[in-house]
Amino acid sequence: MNSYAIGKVARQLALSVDTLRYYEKIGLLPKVSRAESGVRRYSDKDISRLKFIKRAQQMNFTLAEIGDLLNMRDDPQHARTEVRQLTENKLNEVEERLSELDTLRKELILLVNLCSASDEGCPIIDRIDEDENTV
Amino acid sequence: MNKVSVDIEVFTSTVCSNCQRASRVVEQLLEEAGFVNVTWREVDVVEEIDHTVALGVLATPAIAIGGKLVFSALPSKQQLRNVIQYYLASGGLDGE
Repeated sequence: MNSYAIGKVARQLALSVDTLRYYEKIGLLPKVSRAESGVRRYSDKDISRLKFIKRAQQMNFTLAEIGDLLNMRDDPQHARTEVRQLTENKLNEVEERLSELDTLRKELILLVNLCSASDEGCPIIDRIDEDENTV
Repeated sequence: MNKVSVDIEVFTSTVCSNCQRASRVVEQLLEEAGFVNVTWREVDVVEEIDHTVALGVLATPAIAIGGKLVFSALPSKQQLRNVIQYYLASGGLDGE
């Protein structure tokens, strides 16, 4: 079974060492196993859990919400009704965000296509100017 | 009496060399064919970017008919004529 030192995990996930310790302290991460020397050794499962936490934080979920979602992740069949409801709500938020991102993606593709077709002006610049003028 | 109306939108930008041709193809076809209840307009994709993206237009020229993206490049006059005739005959492009 693979295990990783805290510094390596911190670098891989772009999180601070203090943050990793904090997640463990507040229970988002179960007690991390230790080497004989006493230093933490993170498993692949720990890293998967940390990636989930990071993604959820990027969606602006609170740590309390993330804790509930992790409980659901650990044991989806026996999740409490409130946690199931929270998970459904969060799923809807993710779907909405995806839809917004998809629209943004298409807009950027269009602008890049227009720019590459242009020998003169660049509509991306026009668009940015337009937005700045309307704010 | 045929009550189906067809709205054609030609998506253009100031930097696209084929856009003027796309508009001309539509304009000439409508003059020649004498379709009834067929209207068209040019859409500047930068001016109306939200509408453009909502229809899935990612490059110019493009042509939407009845609010649906139909051509993602310059069509021939015959291709355009076929789609408009189909639209008028069937009342829309749904179910294609």
